[in-house]
Amino acid sequence: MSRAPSPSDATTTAAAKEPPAASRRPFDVHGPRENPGGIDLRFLPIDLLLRPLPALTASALRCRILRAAGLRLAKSSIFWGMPTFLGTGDVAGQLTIGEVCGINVGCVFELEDRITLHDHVSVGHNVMFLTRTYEMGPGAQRAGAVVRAPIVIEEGAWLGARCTIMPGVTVGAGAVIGASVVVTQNVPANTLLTGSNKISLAKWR
Amino acid sequence: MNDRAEVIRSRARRLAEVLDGETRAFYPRLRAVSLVSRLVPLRVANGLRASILRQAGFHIGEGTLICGTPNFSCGEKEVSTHGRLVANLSIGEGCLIEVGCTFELDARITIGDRVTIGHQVIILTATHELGPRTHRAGPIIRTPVNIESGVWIGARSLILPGITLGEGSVVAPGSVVNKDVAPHARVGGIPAKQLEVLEP
Repeated sequence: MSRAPSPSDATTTAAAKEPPAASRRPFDVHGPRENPGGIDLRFLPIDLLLRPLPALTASALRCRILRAAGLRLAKSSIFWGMPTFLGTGDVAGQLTIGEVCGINVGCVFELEDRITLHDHVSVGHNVMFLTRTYEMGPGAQRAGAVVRAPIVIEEGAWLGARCTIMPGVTVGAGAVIGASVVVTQNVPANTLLTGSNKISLAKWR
Repeated sequence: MNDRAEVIRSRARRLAEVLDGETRAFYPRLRAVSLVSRLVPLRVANGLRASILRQAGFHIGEGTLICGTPNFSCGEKEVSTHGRLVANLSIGEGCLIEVGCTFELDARITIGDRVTIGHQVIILTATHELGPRTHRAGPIIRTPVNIESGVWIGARSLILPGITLGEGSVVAPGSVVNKDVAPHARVGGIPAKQLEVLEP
């Protein structure tokens, strides 16, 4: 949201991309909406197969199957529960997870763009990684053109339960994100982020 | 003999009460439609999902995309018929509703045209009056929520009962909206405060 351009910018870009009048429906203010999603035929059966597996059960098996499906998940990293992967096209190819990462139950990875977790990253319950947002549009439809941006979580970071990582964010090495925080801006390395408070952990070895 | 008949009658009454309480919020038609709609993988056939939910009787406008089946809940006794339940949700044209949203249909939720609702947004319509200290959550109050046209609600926001989001307003992700939002305002935080006024 912080990266949204001024509404006047959005209006001019929308006008430039205006579709021909015939395909325009009364509710399309700046062109038809981009319909999110698509189907990844290779990943879908694996998702359906692994979803009924109870959380914290057969996690090594789950990770083995996910690796076989083409997910770049290092051997020492583990998904404790089956996350929700959303996205278009090559879903599995967009996610890279380094060594000794632990990803807890109920996470959501929106793989419209690349999500990279470096080594030793810990992810709490119900953490959400979002890679799709919109430009700020005019008042008739505020969510304008779709914007996609990648997420990078650097070495050793720890994401608390239920935090939301917004598109384009880089969480620095050794940063700690408190529970339920919405991360909209880059987080410097070795910082504890709780809501709007930033506390340096540089002395904490 | 008379006593025994009385006992049986009272037990039958009790059983009927229990069954009523246990099944009131079941809504078989909505369950069946939700189940069918949940068979469609997330973020796939979003227009089809909207058409499936229309079969439950919800008013969903043309061109609306629903990326994952929302959770519907309703524990209201007066809404105990399917027709009254589905009349409580109306979605306009050209909207987009993301995955994992929750709509509490104890009172009416009206969503205008071209509204965008992010992931895991919760819209509530029922709350409690503040009760005595022995039981703070007092009697239930139900108030409708009204989301006007063009609104954009960020992921994981919570809209509390009785709120009106004015035309073209924007709710930042993760906010808790406990007051009405003026048209074209951008609000955010817990509780949501006005951050700026956007150009209409």
